[in-house]
Amino acid sequence: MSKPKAFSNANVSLTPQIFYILLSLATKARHGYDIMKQVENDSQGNVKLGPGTLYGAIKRMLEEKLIVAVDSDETRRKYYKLTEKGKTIFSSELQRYNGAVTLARKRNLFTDPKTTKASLAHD
Amino acid sequence: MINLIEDGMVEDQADRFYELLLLLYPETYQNRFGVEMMYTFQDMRAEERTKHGKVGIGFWSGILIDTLLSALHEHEEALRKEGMKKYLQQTLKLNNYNLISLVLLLPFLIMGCIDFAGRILQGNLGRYNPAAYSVLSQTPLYWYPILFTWVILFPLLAVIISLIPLAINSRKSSWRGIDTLKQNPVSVIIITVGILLLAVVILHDFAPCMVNNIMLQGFGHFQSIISLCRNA
Repeated sequence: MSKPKAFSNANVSLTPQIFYILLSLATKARHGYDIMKQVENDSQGNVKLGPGTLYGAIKRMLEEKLIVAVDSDETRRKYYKLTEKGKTIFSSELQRYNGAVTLARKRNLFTDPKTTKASLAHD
Repeated sequence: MINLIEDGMVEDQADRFYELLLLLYPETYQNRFGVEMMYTFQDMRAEERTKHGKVGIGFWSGILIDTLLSALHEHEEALRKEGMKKYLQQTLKLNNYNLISLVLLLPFLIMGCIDFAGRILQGNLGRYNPAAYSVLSQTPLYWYPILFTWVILFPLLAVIISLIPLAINSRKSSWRGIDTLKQNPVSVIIITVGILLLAVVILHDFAPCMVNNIMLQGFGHFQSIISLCRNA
């Protein structure tokens, strides 16, 4: 029994964790804790990763060749950076988001979260 | 096999506890990511201490949930990749001693699960579910003369039998604490579960009512046997 590969197709959506890890590695190579902090920062605290979740995701991303490990000269920590495949998949995911955001703007779907909350409470 | 203590990575009790938690992952995963996960944990712990002055319950509960869920996921993946037989032999290192011990623990675990499920269904953990209890009381395990066998003797035997492979390992190469335990993770789990079950029986005031009933009825049965013997 073999599970279908999650990231082999550039049109497959990424999980929020994988997306934010790719986002954190898009600018530079980082080690585990650095990725964790960057993900928390970038998602404004909405995505929090523990060591188990983080390295589970890293393992799957390594298997799918979205990232590679690079040894650091200064410390014994391993750093991770995006591969060409990782960059391609991340880029197509960003384009998908961009398309959705453009469409939502055209249809005037963006609302102020405070107004939405207030109207929900009123209902 | 990685040894974080020899590597000088384990600095305090929190690290030591996290090192034990890492044992929950499959061995190949531990070897591949154990050191890095320890570094990440140490960074998290250091940040928590700087922010709050100590490592609190909130921090530990987050770590525990994260570890348990991700370890389960990794085991599920290992099982899927390796197949049941290879997974049991290589990842869990299940041996004949463990199998016997597991069989010995099963009656307690099955009865405990039925009892616990009944309580959850009725929404009151403090009181036994009469329906579940009536099902349990019809099983041969509720035959009073053997109650003590599966409640006390079986878990005790399971613990002793699971200690055998650990003792054999420590004879082959001298006892090296966590490293020796790592060689038989199933033994460690069985011993822990067995001791917990025995603790439930010994501290039966805090235990599920099922065990309370068993103990009370069991004691009642023994008292009647003793009084019968005295009268005879």
